[in-house]
Amino acid sequence: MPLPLVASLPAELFVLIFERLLDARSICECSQVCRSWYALTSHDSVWNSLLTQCCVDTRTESGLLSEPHPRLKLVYAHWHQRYRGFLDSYTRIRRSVLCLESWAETNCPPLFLSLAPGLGWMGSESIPVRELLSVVTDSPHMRDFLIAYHLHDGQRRQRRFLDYGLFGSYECYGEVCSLSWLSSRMLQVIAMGQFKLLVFAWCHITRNYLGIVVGCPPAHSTQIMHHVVQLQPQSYRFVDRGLFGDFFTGYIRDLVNGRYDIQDDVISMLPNSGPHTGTSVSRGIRTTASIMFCPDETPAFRVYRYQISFEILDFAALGCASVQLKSRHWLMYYQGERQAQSSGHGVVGEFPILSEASPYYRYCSRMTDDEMDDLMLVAFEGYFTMVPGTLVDPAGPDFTLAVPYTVVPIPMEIL
Amino acid sequence: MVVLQSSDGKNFTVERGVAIQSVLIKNLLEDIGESDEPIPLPNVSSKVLEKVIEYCEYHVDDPSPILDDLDEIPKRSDDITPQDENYMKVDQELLFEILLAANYMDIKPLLELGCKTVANMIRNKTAQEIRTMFNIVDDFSPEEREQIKKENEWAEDH
Repeated sequence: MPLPLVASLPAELFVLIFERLLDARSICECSQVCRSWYALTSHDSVWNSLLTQCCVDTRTESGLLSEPHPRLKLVYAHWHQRYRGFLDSYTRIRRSVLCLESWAETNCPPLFLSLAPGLGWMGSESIPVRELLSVVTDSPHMRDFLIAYHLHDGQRRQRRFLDYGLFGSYECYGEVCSLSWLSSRMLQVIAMGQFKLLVFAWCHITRNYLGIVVGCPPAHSTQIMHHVVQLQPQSYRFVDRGLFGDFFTGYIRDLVNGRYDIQDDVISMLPNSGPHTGTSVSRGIRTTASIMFCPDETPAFRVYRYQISFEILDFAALGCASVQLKSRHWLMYYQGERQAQSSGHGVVGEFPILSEASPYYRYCSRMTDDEMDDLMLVAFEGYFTMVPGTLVDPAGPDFTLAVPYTVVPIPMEIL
Repeated sequence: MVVLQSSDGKNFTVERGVAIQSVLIKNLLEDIGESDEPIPLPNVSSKVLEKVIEYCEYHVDDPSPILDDLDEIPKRSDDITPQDENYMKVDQELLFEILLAANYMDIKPLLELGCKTVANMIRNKTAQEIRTMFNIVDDFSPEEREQIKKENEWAEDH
């Protein structure tokens, strides 16, 4: 019998080929072909390539084995068994976490320090969570919940409550409140009628929770089961934020793409682009408005919090060294084509000055529905009157900065 | 122009840009300087060399820098262009000879393409199908076979 053609290839080329298989099942089949292929497929580099592809934290996974320097095939096999059924989720979320880490390290070091060292599996300390898991054991989407657990649990190691929540902060009347991941001991399932929600984060000032729906009537299960919802328990009002995996990876993507401003090491909860935001650039100043639904403790009418930010992008276009805000002018649109105007001096009691030393200013305030006739707020627009130089020493005639027509989010209310 | 000589003594005249995609030739030219003398490639037959030159010619304008380390190339195998896929539609013998030549002549993108092509041939096949495809003899003892099967049990289902 002549030597098979394949025998003409040197061993190193086979290793290169096996590195490119990137499929555990196929590599294992190759290991059963013949003795030499068995030896070649056991090469660490073959499995390292697969572990890298799957975004596995190889160091952590190796540490879970009893041997001091386990072969990577063994490391992969253990990882594969432990995350059976969640392999894709693991890779997807890990990729997002790595992306978050490298972003945070540069853009927000305090947040980076608060991040978990890596994903971990249910440890001996997580008994309450294990009990909670039984709620969702038979769900095909359970993976999203498990990953949620992984993420918050790593954070628990750092401090009980973090000043820097992963989900940034709500801004309420100038006060900063961060939204914290809850430690696993504080995870709670709250029942609201036929709905069960696992709450994993909250904001103590707005009383908004972030939770995952772990139980609901069958009629709603396809739309809302295992979705992350942002809710206000007293009013039962909530906003659907999607499946946890989608919510998380989407949030990280937005964060890295600069959709949320960072001020004082806290990520703003209000985005600076996308739906329910408006941006204009005039005289070298960028004005950004964004608005979100943030229900109050008194659920009599809907409350929206909005953020306005000003940033000098181009001093040449501005034509002076500083500029001071003089007054604000709003036009609110309600349902039924009702409109209302409102004007006033300054913003939130201030007359901010933008200059080379402080080219950025933002403030937060609130808008409500029309309280008299209970009409829903639909949109708003407006402008700010600015004075070149300062109010006491103007360097030229007033000019205006426009806030473009911005649509207000409609909270979903089905509970 | 550079003259390359195959193992069976055939000369191929190619543009310098085509020839230096081979790191072996690039280094040689840097060492010996410009010369009209043919560069002998004793490990590559004219049939294979012709095929390798074909690849280098249609990749001559590729911006891909010559990488020092193959590890820097992302190890994916679903990113083969239709042109490259078509180029690789050859019999097994020629495919392996191209791989060997790419390895010997140090043409990393071609080596990468060859490895990916073979990986795609193997993927999702059973051990027996692979043996048949490459005419490989199963030299495991029954005990060994049993042991390896057990060792790979974890990969059986997802």
